[in-house]
Amino acid sequence: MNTPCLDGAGLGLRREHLFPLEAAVPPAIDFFEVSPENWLAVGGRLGRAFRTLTERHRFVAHGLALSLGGPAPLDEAFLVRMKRFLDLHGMVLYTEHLSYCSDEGHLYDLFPIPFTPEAVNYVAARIRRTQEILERPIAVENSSYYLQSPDADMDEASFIAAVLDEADCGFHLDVNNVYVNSVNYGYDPEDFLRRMPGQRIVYVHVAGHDREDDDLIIDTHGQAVIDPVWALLESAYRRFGVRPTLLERDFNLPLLDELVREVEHIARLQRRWQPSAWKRSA
Amino acid sequence: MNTAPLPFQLFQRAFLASLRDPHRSRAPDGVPTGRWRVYRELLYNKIEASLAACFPNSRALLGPRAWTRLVKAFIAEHRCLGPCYREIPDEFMHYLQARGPGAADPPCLFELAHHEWMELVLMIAEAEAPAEIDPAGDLLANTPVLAPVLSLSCYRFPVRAIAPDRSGWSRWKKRAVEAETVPHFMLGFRNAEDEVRFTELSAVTAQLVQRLIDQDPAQAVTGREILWRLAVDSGPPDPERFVSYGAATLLELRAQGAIVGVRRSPNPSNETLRGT
Repeated sequence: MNTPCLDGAGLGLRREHLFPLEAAVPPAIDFFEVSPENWLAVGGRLGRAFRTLTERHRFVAHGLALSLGGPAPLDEAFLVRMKRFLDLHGMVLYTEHLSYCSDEGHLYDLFPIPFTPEAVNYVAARIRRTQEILERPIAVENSSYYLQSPDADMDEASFIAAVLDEADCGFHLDVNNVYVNSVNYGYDPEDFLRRMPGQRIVYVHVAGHDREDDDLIIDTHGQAVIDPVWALLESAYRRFGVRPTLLERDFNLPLLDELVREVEHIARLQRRWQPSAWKRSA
Repeated sequence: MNTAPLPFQLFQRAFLASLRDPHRSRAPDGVPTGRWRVYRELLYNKIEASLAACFPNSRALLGPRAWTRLVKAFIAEHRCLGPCYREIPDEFMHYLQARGPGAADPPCLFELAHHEWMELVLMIAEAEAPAEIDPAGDLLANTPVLAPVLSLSCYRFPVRAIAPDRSGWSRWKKRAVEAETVPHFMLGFRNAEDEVRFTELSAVTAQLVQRLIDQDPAQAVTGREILWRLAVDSGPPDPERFVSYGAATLLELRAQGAIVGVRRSPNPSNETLRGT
Protein backbone atom coordinates (compact mmCIF):
# COMPACT_ATOMS: atom_id res chain seq x y z
CA MET A 1 0.00 0.00 0.00
CA ASN A 2 1.15 3.53 -0.53
CA THR A 3 -0.32 6.97 -0.40
CA PRO A 4 -0.02 9.02 -3.57
CA CYS A 5 1.63 12.42 -3.08
CA LEU A 6 3.24 11.45 0.20
CA ASP A 7 6.89 10.65 0.71
CA GLY A 8 9.94 11.83 2.57
CA ALA A 9 10.14 13.23 6.09
CA GLY A 10 7.66 15.45 7.88
CA LEU A 11 7.08 17.38 11.06
CA GLY A 12 4.08 17.52 13.38
CA LEU A 13 2.80 21.09 13.29
CA ARG A 14 2.27 22.86 16.60
CA ARG A 15 0.67 26.25 17.09
CA GLU A 16 3.91 27.52 18.56
CA HIS A 17 5.64 27.02 15.21
CA LEU A 18 2.85 28.34 13.05
CA PHE A 19 4.03 31.90 12.66
CA PRO A 20 7.74 31.11 12.11
CA LEU A 21 6.67 28.55 9.48
CA GLU A 22 4.32 31.01 7.85
CA ALA A 23 7.40 33.12 7.12
CA ALA A 24 9.45 30.23 5.70
CA VAL A 25 9.32 26.45 5.68
CA PRO A 26 12.74 24.76 5.90
CA PRO A 27 13.32 22.60 2.78
CA ALA A 28 13.97 19.53 4.93
CA ILE A 29 10.25 19.35 5.76
CA ASP A 30 8.48 17.42 2.99
CA PHE A 31 5.07 17.50 4.69
CA PHE A 32 3.29 18.39 7.90
CA GLU A 33 0.88 16.57 10.13
CA VAL A 34 -1.80 17.98 12.40
CA SER A 35 -4.42 16.64 14.71
CA PRO A 36 -7.60 17.78 12.98
CA GLU A 37 -9.23 18.17 16.40
CA ASN A 38 -6.83 21.04 17.11
CA TRP A 39 -7.86 22.91 13.97
CA LEU A 40 -11.52 22.10 13.36
CA ALA A 41 -13.51 25.34 13.48
CA VAL A 42 -10.53 27.50 14.36
CA GLY A 43 -10.74 30.94 12.76
CA GLY A 44 -8.99 34.23 13.33
CA ARG A 45 -5.29 34.73 12.90
CA LEU A 46 -4.46 31.10 13.73
CA GLY A 47 -7.04 29.74 11.34
CA ARG A 48 -5.84 31.95 8.51
CA ALA A 49 -2.17 31.10 9.04
CA PHE A 50 -3.07 27.42 9.07
CA ARG A 51 -5.06 27.74 5.86
CA THR A 52 -2.13 29.48 4.18
CA LEU A 53 0.15 26.59 5.12
CA THR A 54 -2.26 23.88 3.98
CA GLU A 55 -2.66 25.65 0.64
CA ARG A 56 1.09 25.53 0.07
CA HIS A 57 2.21 22.27 1.65
CA ARG A 58 1.21 18.65 1.93
CA PHE A 59 -0.59 17.70 5.12
CA VAL A 60 -1.51 14.51 6.90
CA ALA A 61 -4.35 14.45 9.46
CA HIS A 62 -3.71 12.31 12.51
CA GLY A 63 -6.91 12.12 14.54
CA LEU A 64 -7.29 11.85 18.29
CA ALA A 65 -10.98 11.82 19.07
CA LEU A 66 -12.66 9.21 16.88
CA SER A 67 -12.49 6.58 19.62
CA LEU A 68 -12.37 3.64 17.20
CA GLY A 69 -12.42 1.20 20.10
CA GLY A 70 -14.86 3.12 22.30
CA PRO A 71 -18.00 1.56 23.80
CA ALA A 72 -20.36 4.37 22.65
CA PRO A 73 -21.69 4.43 19.05
CA LEU A 74 -19.32 5.79 16.41
CA ASP A 75 -19.76 9.55 16.15
CA GLU A 76 -20.87 9.78 12.54
CA ALA A 77 -21.73 13.48 12.71
CA PHE A 78 -18.14 14.09 13.76
CA LEU A 79 -16.95 12.05 10.78
CA VAL A 80 -19.01 14.19 8.44
CA ARG A 81 -17.31 17.28 9.85
CA MET A 82 -14.00 15.49 9.54
CA LYS A 83 -14.60 14.75 5.88
CA ARG A 84 -15.24 18.44 5.18
CA PHE A 85 -12.04 19.32 7.02
CA LEU A 86 -9.98 16.73 5.12
CA ASP A 87 -11.36 17.98 1.82
CA LEU A 88 -11.00 21.67 2.63
CA HIS A 89 -7.32 21.31 3.51
CA GLY A 90 -6.50 18.69 0.90
CA MET A 91 -5.24 16.26 3.53
CA VAL A 92 -3.42 13.46 1.71
CA LEU A 93 -3.97 10.90 4.48
CA TYR A 94 -6.10 10.47 7.59
CA THR A 95 -4.96 8.16 10.35
CA GLU A 96 -6.38 7.34 13.77
CA HIS A 97 -5.31 5.43 16.85
CA LEU A 98 -6.09 1.84 17.62
CA SER A 99 -7.47 2.89 20.99
CA TYR A 100 -10.42 4.68 22.54
CA CYS A 101 -10.81 8.03 24.26
CA SER A 102 -14.45 8.17 25.31
CA ASP A 103 -17.62 6.46 26.39
CA GLU A 104 -20.58 8.86 26.31
CA GLY A 105 -18.12 11.63 27.18
CA HIS A 106 -14.61 12.46 26.01
CA LEU A 107 -11.57 12.11 28.26
CA TYR A 108 -9.03 13.54 25.79
CA ASP A 109 -6.54 10.73 26.30
CA LEU A 110 -5.97 7.39 24.57
CA PHE A 111 -6.77 4.12 26.34
CA PRO A 112 -5.88 0.58 25.30
CA ILE A 113 -8.60 -1.58 23.80
CA PRO A 114 -8.75 -4.99 25.53
CA PHE A 115 -7.09 -7.39 23.10
CA THR A 116 -9.93 -9.84 22.50
CA PRO A 117 -11.45 -11.40 19.36
CA GLU A 118 -14.76 -9.58 20.01
CA ALA A 119 -12.87 -6.31 20.08
CA VAL A 120 -11.19 -7.19 16.78
CA ASN A 121 -14.58 -7.60 15.08
CA TYR A 122 -16.02 -4.53 16.74
CA VAL A 123 -13.14 -2.19 15.91
CA ALA A 124 -12.71 -3.51 12.37
CA ALA A 125 -16.40 -2.83 11.65
CA ARG A 126 -16.01 0.72 12.92
CA ILE A 127 -12.93 1.28 10.77
CA ARG A 128 -14.82 0.05 7.73
CA ARG A 129 -17.72 2.36 8.53
CA THR A 130 -15.28 5.25 8.95
CA GLN A 131 -13.75 4.56 5.53
CA GLU A 132 -17.25 4.45 4.06
CA ILE A 133 -18.24 7.83 5.47
CA LEU A 134 -14.93 9.49 4.66
CA GLU A 135 -14.91 7.87 1.22
CA ARG A 136 -11.22 7.07 1.48
CA PRO A 137 -9.00 4.44 3.03
CA ILE A 138 -7.62 5.33 6.43
CA ALA A 139 -4.65 4.02 8.36
CA VAL A 140 -4.70 2.97 11.99
CA GLU A 141 -1.81 3.41 14.41
CA ASN A 142 -0.48 1.09 17.07
CA SER A 143 -0.88 3.01 20.35
CA SER A 144 1.25 3.14 23.45
CA TYR A 145 -0.35 1.90 26.66
CA TYR A 146 0.38 1.43 30.31
CA LEU A 147 -2.06 -1.30 31.24
CA GLN A 148 -4.01 -4.12 29.70
CA SER A 149 -7.38 -5.52 30.53
CA PRO A 150 -7.03 -8.74 32.52
CA ASP A 151 -9.60 -10.25 30.13
CA ALA A 152 -7.29 -9.83 27.14
CA ASP A 153 -6.68 -13.16 25.53
CA MET A 154 -4.63 -12.06 22.53
CA ASP A 155 -1.24 -10.42 22.43
CA GLU A 156 -0.89 -6.94 21.00
CA ALA A 157 0.84 -7.96 17.76
CA SER A 158 -1.87 -10.53 16.91
CA PHE A 159 -4.57 -8.02 17.81
CA ILE A 160 -3.17 -5.33 15.52
CA ALA A 161 -2.67 -7.72 12.62
CA ALA A 162 -6.17 -9.15 13.00
CA VAL A 163 -7.86 -5.72 13.12
CA LEU A 164 -5.99 -4.44 10.06
CA ASP A 165 -6.79 -7.58 8.17
CA GLU A 166 -10.45 -7.64 9.00
CA ALA A 167 -10.87 -3.89 8.37
CA ASP A 168 -8.67 -4.03 5.28
CA CYS A 169 -7.15 -0.66 6.12
CA GLY A 170 -3.70 0.88 6.13
CA PHE A 171 -1.23 0.53 8.98
CA HIS A 172 0.30 3.58 10.58
CA LEU A 173 3.38 2.22 12.34
CA ASP A 174 4.65 4.20 15.32
CA VAL A 175 8.12 2.87 16.14
CA ASN A 176 8.29 4.93 19.32
CA ASN A 177 5.12 3.26 20.56
CA VAL A 178 6.62 -0.15 19.78
CA TYR A 179 9.62 0.80 21.88
CA VAL A 180 7.54 2.30 24.73
CA ASN A 181 5.31 -0.77 24.95
CA SER A 182 8.29 -3.13 24.72
CA VAL A 183 9.75 -1.52 27.84
CA ASN A 184 6.43 -1.20 29.67
CA TYR A 185 5.54 -4.80 28.86
CA GLY A 186 8.97 -6.38 28.70
CA TYR A 187 9.02 -7.74 25.18
CA ASP A 188 11.50 -7.64 22.32
CA PRO A 189 10.67 -4.74 19.97
CA GLU A 190 12.46 -6.38 17.03
CA ASP A 191 10.42 -9.49 17.42
CA PHE A 192 7.25 -7.37 17.60
CA LEU A 193 8.23 -5.49 14.46
CA ARG A 194 8.82 -8.77 12.63
CA ARG A 195 5.20 -9.72 13.34
CA MET A 196 3.73 -6.48 11.94
CA PRO A 197 1.96 -6.61 8.56
CA GLY A 198 4.62 -4.74 6.59
CA GLN A 199 2.70 -4.60 3.32
CA ARG A 200 -0.02 -2.53 5.01
CA ILE A 201 2.30 0.18 6.34
CA VAL A 202 1.53 3.52 4.69
CA TYR A 203 2.99 5.90 7.23
CA VAL A 204 5.47 5.91 10.10
CA HIS A 205 5.86 7.94 13.29
CA VAL A 206 8.99 8.50 15.30
CA ALA A 207 9.05 10.42 18.58
CA GLY A 208 10.68 10.92 21.96
CA HIS A 209 9.30 9.99 25.35
CA ASP A 210 9.93 10.32 29.08
CA ARG A 211 11.53 7.54 31.06
CA GLU A 212 9.80 7.34 34.45
CA ASP A 213 11.34 4.15 35.72
CA ASP A 214 13.21 1.01 34.60
CA ASP A 215 9.98 -0.53 33.43
CA LEU A 216 7.84 2.52 32.71
CA ILE A 217 8.03 4.98 29.83
CA ILE A 218 5.42 7.70 29.42
CA ASP A 219 4.77 8.48 25.77
CA THR A 220 4.93 12.25 26.10
CA HIS A 221 6.42 13.26 22.72
CA GLY A 222 8.32 15.68 24.92
CA GLN A 223 11.97 14.74 24.26
CA ALA A 224 14.36 14.17 21.39
CA VAL A 225 14.21 10.74 19.72
CA ILE A 226 16.56 8.29 21.46
CA ASP A 227 19.01 5.99 19.66
CA PRO A 228 17.14 2.70 20.26
CA VAL A 229 14.08 4.26 18.58
CA TRP A 230 16.15 5.47 15.63
CA ALA A 231 17.51 1.93 15.39
CA LEU A 232 13.98 0.58 15.35
CA LEU A 233 13.05 2.99 12.55
CA GLU A 234 16.02 1.74 10.50
CA SER A 235 15.00 -1.77 11.25
CA ALA A 236 11.48 -1.06 9.96
CA TYR A 237 12.93 0.44 6.77
CA ARG A 238 15.18 -2.59 6.32
CA ARG A 239 12.32 -5.05 6.83
CA PHE A 240 9.47 -3.28 5.07
CA GLY A 241 11.02 -0.62 2.88
CA VAL A 242 11.07 3.15 3.32
CA ARG A 243 7.75 4.87 4.07
CA PRO A 244 6.82 8.53 4.61
CA THR A 245 7.85 9.25 8.18
CA LEU A 246 6.97 11.99 10.61
CA LEU A 247 8.65 13.42 13.68
CA GLU A 248 6.15 14.00 16.50
CA ARG A 249 6.96 16.53 19.17
CA ASP A 250 4.11 17.85 21.29
CA PHE A 251 5.61 19.08 24.56
CA ASN A 252 8.73 20.74 25.82
CA LEU A 253 9.09 22.24 22.36
CA PRO A 254 12.58 23.30 21.30
CA LEU A 255 13.32 25.83 18.59
CA LEU A 256 12.30 24.80 15.12
CA ASP A 257 15.96 24.33 14.05
CA GLU A 258 16.41 21.53 16.52
CA LEU A 259 13.37 19.69 15.20
CA VAL A 260 14.49 20.24 11.63
CA ARG A 261 17.75 18.44 12.48
CA GLU A 262 15.73 15.42 13.58
CA VAL A 263 13.65 15.59 10.41
CA GLU A 264 16.91 15.64 8.44
CA HIS A 265 18.00 12.56 10.31
CA ILE A 266 14.85 10.76 9.16
CA ALA A 267 15.70 11.74 5.58
CA ARG A 268 19.27 10.42 6.00
CA LEU A 269 17.96 7.04 7.14
CA GLN A 270 15.49 7.00 4.26
CA ARG A 271 18.32 7.63 1.78
CA ARG A 272 20.37 4.89 3.37
CA TRP A 273 17.62 2.31 2.91
CA GLN A 274 16.17 3.48 -0.38
CA PRO A 275 18.65 5.79 -2.09
CA SER A 276 16.96 5.63 -5.48
CA ALA A 277 13.69 6.93 -4.07
CA TRP A 278 15.26 10.07 -2.70
CA LYS A 279 13.46 12.45 -4.99
CA ARG A 280 15.14 15.67 -4.06
CA SER A 281 18.51 14.46 -5.34
CA ALA A 282 17.01 14.12 -8.83
CA MET B 1 -29.79 0.45 18.21
CA ASN B 2 -29.55 -0.99 21.68
CA THR B 3 -27.40 -4.06 21.83
CA ALA B 4 -26.04 -5.79 24.89
CA PRO B 5 -22.56 -4.56 25.77
CA LEU B 6 -19.72 -6.85 24.77
CA PRO B 7 -17.60 -8.21 27.63
CA PHE B 8 -14.61 -6.03 26.78
CA GLN B 9 -16.87 -2.96 26.86
CA LEU B 10 -17.83 -3.65 30.48
CA PHE B 11 -14.16 -3.38 31.32
CA GLN B 12 -13.82 -0.17 29.31
CA ARG B 13 -16.76 1.49 31.04
CA ALA B 14 -15.63 0.41 34.49
CA PHE B 15 -12.12 1.65 33.79
CA LEU B 16 -13.25 5.07 32.56
CA ALA B 17 -15.69 5.41 35.48
CA SER B 18 -12.82 4.78 37.91
CA LEU B 19 -10.61 7.33 36.16
CA ARG B 20 -13.30 9.99 36.35
CA ASP B 21 -14.34 9.40 39.93
CA PRO B 22 -12.06 7.11 41.92
CA HIS B 23 -14.05 7.73 45.11
CA ARG B 24 -17.23 6.33 43.65
CA SER B 25 -15.90 3.71 41.25
CA ARG B 26 -13.05 1.36 42.02
CA ALA B 27 -10.67 0.37 39.26
CA PRO B 28 -11.70 -2.97 37.68
CA ASP B 29 -10.20 -6.06 39.29
CA GLY B 30 -6.80 -7.03 38.01
CA VAL B 31 -5.74 -3.51 37.06
CA PRO B 32 -2.38 -2.70 38.69
CA THR B 33 -2.76 0.37 40.92
CA GLY B 34 0.49 1.98 39.76
CA ARG B 35 -0.46 1.83 36.11
CA TRP B 36 -4.02 2.94 36.85
CA ARG B 37 -2.56 5.96 38.61
CA VAL B 38 -0.53 6.84 35.48
CA TYR B 39 -3.80 7.21 33.56
CA ARG B 40 -5.54 9.10 36.36
CA GLU B 41 -2.67 11.58 36.58
CA LEU B 42 -2.46 12.03 32.82
CA LEU B 43 -6.18 12.72 32.72
CA TYR B 44 -6.16 15.18 35.60
CA ASN B 45 -3.06 17.00 34.34
CA LYS B 46 -4.41 17.30 30.83
CA ILE B 47 -7.75 18.74 31.89
CA GLU B 48 -6.18 20.98 34.51
CA ALA B 49 -3.65 22.35 32.01
CA SER B 50 -6.40 23.27 29.56
CA LEU B 51 -8.47 24.98 32.25
CA ALA B 52 -5.48 26.74 33.83
CA ALA B 53 -4.57 28.20 30.44
CA CYS B 54 -8.07 29.55 29.82
CA PHE B 55 -9.02 30.56 33.37
CA PRO B 56 -5.88 31.91 35.09
CA ASN B 57 -7.76 34.47 37.17
CA SER B 58 -10.54 32.13 38.23
CA ARG B 59 -7.87 29.69 39.30
CA ALA B 60 -6.02 32.34 41.29
CA LEU B 61 -9.26 33.59 42.84
CA LEU B 62 -10.14 30.12 44.09
CA GLY B 63 -6.68 29.27 45.35
CA PRO B 64 -4.99 25.89 44.85
CA ARG B 65 -7.18 23.72 47.08
CA ALA B 66 -10.57 24.93 45.90
CA TRP B 67 -9.34 24.94 42.29
CA THR B 68 -8.18 21.32 42.50
CA ARG B 69 -11.49 20.36 44.06
CA LEU B 70 -13.40 22.09 41.27
CA VAL B 71 -11.33 20.46 38.52
CA LYS B 72 -11.83 17.03 40.10
CA ALA B 73 -15.57 17.62 40.43
CA PHE B 74 -15.70 18.69 36.77
CA ILE B 75 -13.94 15.49 35.69
CA ALA B 76 -16.18 13.35 37.90
CA GLU B 77 -19.56 14.94 37.22
CA HIS B 78 -19.46 16.30 33.69
CA ARG B 79 -19.61 14.39 30.42
CA CYS B 80 -17.63 16.28 27.80
CA LEU B 81 -19.45 16.05 24.47
CA GLY B 82 -17.00 18.11 22.44
CA PRO B 83 -14.44 15.83 20.80
CA CYS B 84 -11.67 18.43 20.67
CA TYR B 85 -9.19 19.10 23.45
CA ARG B 86 -9.57 22.83 22.94
CA GLU B 87 -13.28 22.48 23.76
CA ILE B 88 -12.53 21.61 27.39
CA PRO B 89 -13.06 25.25 28.51
CA ASP B 90 -16.45 25.25 26.71
CA GLU B 91 -17.35 22.07 28.56
CA PHE B 92 -16.23 23.62 31.83
CA MET B 93 -18.58 26.57 31.28
CA HIS B 94 -21.44 24.14 30.56
CA TYR B 95 -20.56 22.38 33.77
CA LEU B 96 -20.47 25.55 35.88
CA GLN B 97 -23.79 26.64 34.43
CA ALA B 98 -25.48 23.28 34.99
CA ARG B 99 -24.06 22.93 38.49
CA GLY B 100 -25.10 26.40 39.62
CA PRO B 101 -23.18 28.35 42.25
CA GLY B 102 -21.33 26.17 44.75
CA ALA B 103 -21.80 26.98 48.44
CA ALA B 104 -18.12 27.80 48.83
CA ASP B 105 -17.74 29.65 45.51
CA PRO B 106 -16.78 33.31 45.53
CA PRO B 107 -19.96 34.99 44.18
CA CYS B 108 -18.09 36.46 41.21
CA LEU B 109 -16.59 33.13 40.11
CA PHE B 110 -19.03 32.30 37.34
CA GLU B 111 -18.89 35.73 35.76
CA LEU B 112 -15.12 35.92 35.98
CA ALA B 113 -14.82 32.49 34.36
CA HIS B 114 -17.31 33.52 31.68
CA HIS B 115 -15.31 36.62 30.88
CA GLU B 116 -12.04 34.67 30.67
CA TRP B 117 -13.72 32.09 28.44
CA MET B 118 -15.08 34.81 26.10
CA GLU B 119 -11.52 35.80 25.28
CA LEU B 120 -10.81 32.29 23.96
CA VAL B 121 -14.15 32.12 22.15
CA LEU B 122 -13.54 35.43 20.39
CA MET B 123 -9.95 34.55 19.53
CA ILE B 124 -10.78 31.43 17.54
CA ALA B 125 -14.30 32.16 16.23
CA GLU B 126 -14.51 31.51 12.51
CA ALA B 127 -16.61 34.43 11.25
CA GLU B 128 -14.96 36.82 8.79
CA ALA B 129 -15.97 40.36 7.88
CA PRO B 130 -18.21 40.66 4.82
CA ALA B 131 -16.32 41.89 1.78
CA GLU B 132 -18.69 44.60 0.56
CA ILE B 133 -18.33 47.14 3.36
CA ASP B 134 -17.02 50.66 3.27
CA PRO B 135 -14.73 51.12 6.27
CA ALA B 136 -14.90 54.92 6.15
CA GLY B 137 -18.53 55.45 5.11
CA ASP B 138 -20.96 57.78 6.88
CA LEU B 139 -22.29 55.97 9.93
CA LEU B 140 -25.56 57.91 10.06
CA ALA B 141 -26.50 57.73 6.39
CA ASN B 142 -25.66 54.02 6.01
CA THR B 143 -25.97 50.81 8.01
CA PRO B 144 -23.14 50.45 10.55
CA VAL B 145 -21.59 46.96 10.44
CA LEU B 146 -20.22 45.43 13.62
CA ALA B 147 -17.02 43.40 13.83
CA PRO B 148 -17.93 39.88 12.68
CA VAL B 149 -16.64 38.35 15.90
CA LEU B 150 -18.29 40.18 18.76
CA SER B 151 -20.17 39.54 21.98
CA LEU B 152 -22.06 41.70 24.40
CA SER B 153 -22.34 40.41 27.96
CA CYS B 154 -24.03 41.84 31.01
CA TYR B 155 -22.35 41.10 34.33
CA ARG B 156 -23.21 41.94 37.93
CA PHE B 157 -19.53 42.22 38.73
CA PRO B 158 -16.94 44.45 37.08
CA VAL B 159 -15.16 41.43 35.60
CA ARG B 160 -12.24 43.46 34.22
CA ALA B 161 -11.51 44.82 37.68
CA ILE B 162 -11.43 41.49 39.50
CA ALA B 163 -7.80 41.29 40.56
CA PRO B 164 -5.80 40.77 43.73
CA ASP B 165 -5.01 43.79 45.88
CA ARG B 166 -2.79 44.15 48.95
CA SER B 167 -4.90 41.60 50.78
CA GLY B 168 -4.74 39.17 47.88
CA TRP B 169 -8.07 37.94 46.58
CA SER B 170 -9.96 38.08 49.86
CA ARG B 171 -12.02 41.12 48.86
CA TRP B 172 -13.35 39.30 45.78
CA LYS B 173 -13.85 36.06 47.61
CA LYS B 174 -16.27 37.73 49.98
CA ARG B 175 -17.84 40.48 47.94
CA ALA B 176 -21.53 39.73 47.79
CA VAL B 177 -23.76 39.92 44.76
CA GLU B 178 -26.11 42.18 46.70
CA ALA B 179 -23.37 44.78 46.85
CA GLU B 180 -23.55 45.14 43.08
CA THR B 181 -26.36 47.39 41.96
CA VAL B 182 -25.19 48.62 38.57
CA PRO B 183 -24.89 46.09 35.74
CA HIS B 184 -21.62 46.00 33.83
CA PHE B 185 -21.96 45.77 30.06
CA MET B 186 -18.90 44.23 28.48
CA LEU B 187 -18.35 44.41 24.76
CA GLY B 188 -15.77 41.96 23.42
CA PHE B 189 -14.71 41.80 19.78
CA ARG B 190 -11.91 40.84 17.44
CA ASN B 191 -10.49 43.83 15.61
CA ALA B 192 -9.09 44.03 12.07
CA GLU B 193 -5.66 43.01 13.41
CA ASP B 194 -7.28 39.85 14.82
CA GLU B 195 -6.72 40.99 18.40
CA VAL B 196 -9.41 40.45 21.02
CA ARG B 197 -10.46 43.66 22.73
CA PHE B 198 -12.85 44.32 25.61
CA THR B 199 -14.49 47.57 26.51
CA GLU B 200 -17.06 48.35 29.17
CA LEU B 201 -20.12 50.18 27.82
CA SER B 202 -22.67 52.48 29.40
CA ALA B 203 -26.22 51.12 29.55
CA VAL B 204 -27.36 53.25 26.63
CA THR B 205 -24.37 52.36 24.44
CA ALA B 206 -25.01 48.69 25.25
CA GLN B 207 -28.59 49.18 24.02
CA LEU B 208 -27.29 50.76 20.84
CA VAL B 209 -24.87 47.86 20.25
CA GLN B 210 -27.65 45.37 20.99
CA ARG B 211 -29.79 47.01 18.29
CA LEU B 212 -26.90 46.81 15.85
CA ILE B 213 -26.48 43.11 16.70
CA ASP B 214 -30.20 42.54 16.15
CA GLN B 215 -30.25 44.34 12.78
CA ASP B 216 -31.43 42.24 9.91
CA PRO B 217 -28.80 42.90 7.19
CA ALA B 218 -31.53 42.69 4.55
CA GLN B 219 -33.32 45.68 6.09
CA ALA B 220 -30.56 48.25 5.45
CA VAL B 221 -31.62 50.55 8.28
CA THR B 222 -29.33 53.57 8.60
CA GLY B 223 -27.40 54.56 11.71
CA ARG B 224 -29.61 57.64 12.03
CA GLU B 225 -32.79 55.55 12.00
CA ILE B 226 -31.41 53.14 14.60
CA LEU B 227 -30.48 56.03 16.90
CA TRP B 228 -33.78 57.79 16.33
CA ARG B 229 -35.78 54.69 17.25
CA LEU B 230 -33.64 54.14 20.31
CA ALA B 231 -34.30 57.76 21.32
CA VAL B 232 -38.04 57.40 20.84
CA ASP B 233 -38.12 54.09 22.76
CA SER B 234 -36.01 55.30 25.68
CA GLY B 235 -37.64 58.73 25.68
CA PRO B 236 -34.98 61.42 26.17
CA PRO B 237 -36.39 64.95 25.97
CA ASP B 238 -34.54 65.84 22.78
CA PRO B 239 -34.18 63.01 20.22
CA GLU B 240 -32.19 65.18 17.81
CA ARG B 241 -29.57 65.79 20.45
CA PHE B 242 -29.62 62.11 21.37
CA VAL B 243 -28.83 61.26 17.73
CA SER B 244 -25.86 63.60 17.65
CA TYR B 245 -24.46 62.08 20.87
CA GLY B 246 -25.13 58.67 19.40
CA ALA B 247 -23.23 59.63 16.24
CA ALA B 248 -20.18 60.37 18.37
CA THR B 249 -20.58 56.96 20.05
CA LEU B 250 -20.73 55.22 16.67
CA LEU B 251 -17.54 56.99 15.63
CA GLU B 252 -15.86 55.92 18.82
CA LEU B 253 -16.93 52.30 18.33
CA ARG B 254 -15.48 52.45 14.84
CA ALA B 255 -12.23 53.95 16.10
CA GLN B 256 -11.98 51.04 18.58
CA GLY B 257 -12.66 48.49 15.87
CA ALA B 258 -16.04 47.26 17.17
CA ILE B 259 -17.68 48.77 14.07
CA VAL B 260 -15.79 47.81 10.92
CA GLY B 261 -17.57 50.13 8.51
CA VAL B 262 -20.91 50.58 6.79
CA ARG B 263 -23.05 48.76 4.33
CA ARG B 264 -24.03 51.38 1.78
CA SER B 265 -27.62 52.41 1.90
CA PRO B 266 -29.12 51.27 -1.39
CA ASN B 267 -29.94 54.06 -3.87
CA PRO B 268 -33.46 54.31 -5.34
CA SER B 269 -32.60 52.48 -8.58
CA ASN B 270 -31.35 49.51 -6.55
CA GLU B 271 -34.56 49.59 -4.56
CA THR B 272 -36.51 49.26 -7.78
CA LEU B 273 -34.35 46.43 -8.97
CA ARG B 274 -34.72 44.58 -5.72
CA GLY B 275 -38.47 45.05 -5.89
CA THR B 276 -38.82 43.10 -9.13
